[in-house]
Amino acid sequence: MSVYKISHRTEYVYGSPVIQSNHLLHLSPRVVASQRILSHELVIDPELTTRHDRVDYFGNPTTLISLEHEHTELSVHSLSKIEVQEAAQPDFLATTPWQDFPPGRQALPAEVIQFVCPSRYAKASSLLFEFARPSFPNGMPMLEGARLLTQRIFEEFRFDNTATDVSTPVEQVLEQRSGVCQDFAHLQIAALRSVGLPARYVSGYILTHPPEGEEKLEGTDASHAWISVWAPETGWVDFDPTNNLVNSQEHIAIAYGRDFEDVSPISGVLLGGGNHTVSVAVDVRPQD
Amino acid sequence: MNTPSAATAPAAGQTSEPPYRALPGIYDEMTGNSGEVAPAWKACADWFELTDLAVQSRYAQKIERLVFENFFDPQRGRQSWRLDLFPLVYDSQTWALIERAAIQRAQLYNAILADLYGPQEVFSTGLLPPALIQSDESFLRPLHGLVPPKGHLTFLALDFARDPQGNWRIIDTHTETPAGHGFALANRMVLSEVAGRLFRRSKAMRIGPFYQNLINDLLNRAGGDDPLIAVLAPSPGDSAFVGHSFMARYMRQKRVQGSDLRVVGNRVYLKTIDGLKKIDLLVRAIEGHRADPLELAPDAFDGPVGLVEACRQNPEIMVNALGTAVVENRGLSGYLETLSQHFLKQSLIIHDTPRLWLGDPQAREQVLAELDDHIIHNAQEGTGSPGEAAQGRSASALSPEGRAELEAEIRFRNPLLVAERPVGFATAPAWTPNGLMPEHYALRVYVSSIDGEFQVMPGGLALSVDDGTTVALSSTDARSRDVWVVGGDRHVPNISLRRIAAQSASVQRRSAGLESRTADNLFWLGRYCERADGTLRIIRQALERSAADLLALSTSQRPIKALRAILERDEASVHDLSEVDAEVDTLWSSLNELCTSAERMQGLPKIFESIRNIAVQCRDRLSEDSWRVLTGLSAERVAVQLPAPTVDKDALPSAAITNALDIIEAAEDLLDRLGAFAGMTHENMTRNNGWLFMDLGRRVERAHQLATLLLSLFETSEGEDLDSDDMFFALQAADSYITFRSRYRFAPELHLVLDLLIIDETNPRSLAYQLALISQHIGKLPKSADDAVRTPEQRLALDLLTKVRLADVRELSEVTANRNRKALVELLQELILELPRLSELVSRQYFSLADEQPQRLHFSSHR
Repeated sequence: MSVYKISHRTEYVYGSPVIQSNHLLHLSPRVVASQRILSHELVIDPELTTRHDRVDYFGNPTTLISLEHEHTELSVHSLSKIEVQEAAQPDFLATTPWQDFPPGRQALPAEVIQFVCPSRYAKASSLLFEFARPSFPNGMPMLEGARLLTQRIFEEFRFDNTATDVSTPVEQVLEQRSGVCQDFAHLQIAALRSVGLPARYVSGYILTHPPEGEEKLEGTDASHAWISVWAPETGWVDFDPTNNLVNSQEHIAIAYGRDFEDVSPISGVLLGGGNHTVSVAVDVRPQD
Repeated sequence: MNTPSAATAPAAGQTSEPPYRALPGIYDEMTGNSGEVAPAWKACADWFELTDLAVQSRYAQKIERLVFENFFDPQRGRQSWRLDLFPLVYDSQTWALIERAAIQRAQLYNAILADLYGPQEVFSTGLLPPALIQSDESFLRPLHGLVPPKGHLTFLALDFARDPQGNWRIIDTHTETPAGHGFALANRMVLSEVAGRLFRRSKAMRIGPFYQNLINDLLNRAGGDDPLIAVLAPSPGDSAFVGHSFMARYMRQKRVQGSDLRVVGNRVYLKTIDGLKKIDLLVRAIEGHRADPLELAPDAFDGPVGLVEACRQNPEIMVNALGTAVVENRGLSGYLETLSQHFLKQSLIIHDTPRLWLGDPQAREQVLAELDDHIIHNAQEGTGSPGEAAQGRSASALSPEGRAELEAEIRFRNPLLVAERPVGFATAPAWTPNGLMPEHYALRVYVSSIDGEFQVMPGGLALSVDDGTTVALSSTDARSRDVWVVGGDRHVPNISLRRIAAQSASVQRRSAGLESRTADNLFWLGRYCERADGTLRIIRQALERSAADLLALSTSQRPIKALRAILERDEASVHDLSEVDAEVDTLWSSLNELCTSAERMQGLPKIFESIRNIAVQCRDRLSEDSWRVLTGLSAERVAVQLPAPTVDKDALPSAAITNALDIIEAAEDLLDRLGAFAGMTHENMTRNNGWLFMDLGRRVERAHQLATLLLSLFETSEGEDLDSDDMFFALQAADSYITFRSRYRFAPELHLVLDLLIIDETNPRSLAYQLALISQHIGKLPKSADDAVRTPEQRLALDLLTKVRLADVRELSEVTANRNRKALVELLQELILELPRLSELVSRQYFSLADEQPQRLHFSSHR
């Protein structure tokens, strides 16, 4: 069991005054079986005109905010204290062979089936099927295949935060063999959907470690993304293709969705504003 | 552009009409299975039998002309819509069946929507495979949990068809937008105008009362004494624009687009020149997923930011709730019977066409095994415009590669696909120049929720379909027919909406707040019309002069400079024209550019295109006459008279002299039209804010044109003789020659010419007259202040007017060093620079600002 104190601050500075802005936030942690929320608050500056907190279609807490007076800056600061329990390492070899999935039309809950369906950034295709296939020989148990695929993406793809942007299609990621965690997650989800398996996008944080002998610097962590895959025997199991990890205790989940678009931590629309700059600082501190 | 064509002319030598023969073995609406004309069709059949074919052809041609006027879409530059002279007739018994089936469907879809956006029992009970809905992008997850107080559906349309044996089926459902209403309405209006007497003799039912009920219901929903109701429709580039704007016009409601609206404090407001006005009821005619860039498609701005949350907080604000498109999914076809049993405890009255959803593994296997017998369609069509359904793909018609692609698609995109077996279509008589011929058709029926109940419009729209390949209502040439329901025993009041609307109206002098976008459009309509007018006048004068030149009467080249000045005009700077090469062929190349260049901002094609685009957007503010004049403007008329660009330079003068008169005539024809429009607005438009903005645009443009012309002509002196020529030119181009002649009996002198064209406030063509009106108009605008603290645009207008008023004509005409007229140049240059700034200030104050266009923040911190 570990307890983390998380600080996630996003700051916008606008080139010219914004007349009105609206933002959709996925920053408040959702309730997850292996996590306990000890505390959470959102600190937003300047003062809001409206704020609505609700739970979205996927069960994530979301916050809609609007600022309807002129402003030139916006700061959104999410502060959470979350306890993460150790999750069992499931027996991947005991899961259903991938070709036998789904096990019959009515057997799957609708909330699982939606994660097989195509979404904007992660659609099944023959190209992705070909990519996934080496990890899924005939008779391969579904989660063992998912684990092998995670390992392959980790080994065969290069982390490069200049090669892609928020809307890079997975086909391009596949072609250039590089990207960031979001790209790897989308790639793996689309590949798993191509072999007919349910996979979802997880938005959250990961604990990073400073190089040996160095002090950890404030604000150098990042918000992170990985995936989970569902099998009838195990339920949802997390895989992180960026770090080749399974059900790690150093991952803190915030929101689930079909892809990035469902859980984008902060997205907004401005009237006015001109050119803007955005800076993000994330800090994940283990508590003793 | 389509104009009435030879297609409606009768075949030569044909005088009497051969009897109508249906296709063997295929059910026909007029003759059924028996071959005898059914009673409901008798009035029509008799009329067509007794009327001379030549007369019928004249009617058909009139229809083509009216359809052209109603449907021509200058934005898309085409009008593919066609309306048959012969209606499609149903007796009341057949119609009652259609009505019951349509209402049942409306109730069923409403129940399905309430469940999908609510408890989702259809999934837990196994009535519907979740992947069918979850794969559909038109299932809008952010709307889950929102229950519209009066149900989801307000408008829907169903496409019915009979098979060749005469059995009914439903081939498509349109629940997303009221697209298509506009087409049905316009068809009815056109056909009533041509065949009104036949309509009454047939005792066909009117559709006016249906719409009146609909409008009354909308007014009730909106509440209050004078509610602001707005139809939220896509912008003019969209294919559905013409239909939506026609419907909004007919229903007398404001048509707005996303950029006209702003959500403030979870309420929706309209941007007007008086500030934000709260909207009481929004009738959605945009696609749901494009309605809010914050929570729905992030790159679509058809609705205002925050609309979804506004609907959550105030669900009663929107008619035609968000998310209704999901029940258009064709994959539902096979599940509808069980769903009807579940929700309505009834069997379906009319079933969907046989259709398999390929997300179902068994269906998929079956279809892959017999791929050649099926047509593959997208489950979700995504357009409600009649006739524009995408053609399906038929494996038998594909190349081996195409087939492999289709198979791969069935494997990986199967939840998004359906397979259909063609069933065939019954026929109905269609009018041709050679008499009536049977044509395969499908019928679109419109249903609306009125006072909490579904009602069917007693009429509709029929489209010819290509038999065999078509399963959905797609029609390449969009031959449509009006639908008449006859023999109903219900009371049919003989009034249409046009008259009813007046009954409840009270006297009002001021129209409701003018939308900023409309004000903007009217301002620019004024500017563009005046720009075209000024340009054509200078073209005409330059040509008259040039013709004289060629007869060696004069040698001043400055009219050519005047033309270049217009062409090179750039709002931001005063162009230096001293370098312009003023040869005769420059005249022709300038003329060519002005009349044919599609890129030049100052060229006539661009100006006329802008005028047509604005006319489309402001159609509800223009009279039929104005609309006709404006959409008929085209630079073609002048362009065709120009000498071919291939003409040798030496041959140009003689080619030019032959053509000059024809060009002048064409230019004068356009000037007449522009004059007609100016006259109509002057005589027929009430002096409200809309008129103020249009006239303001006119005045700003005229002042700017005149200043540019005078500068190019009189910047420097070229000696007395030539100056004198140019004075004639200026007086004629500014339409002030007669005035001048009546005042002064001698040859023009510059200070007198300048007095008339710059300072004389009684001359409606002078600069001072324009500036005085500009100042006056701006003073009447809503945001103008009292004298003590003037707004910036008030101050600027007054400043320019004062400068002109105080100018001394002798000083202006004085030639100083280097043959320059320093004072004149200074004054005109200031006007040329400051008038665009004035225009900018007015835009900033009253119109939707460019920097108010929403900007999407898109980034990811996931690393």
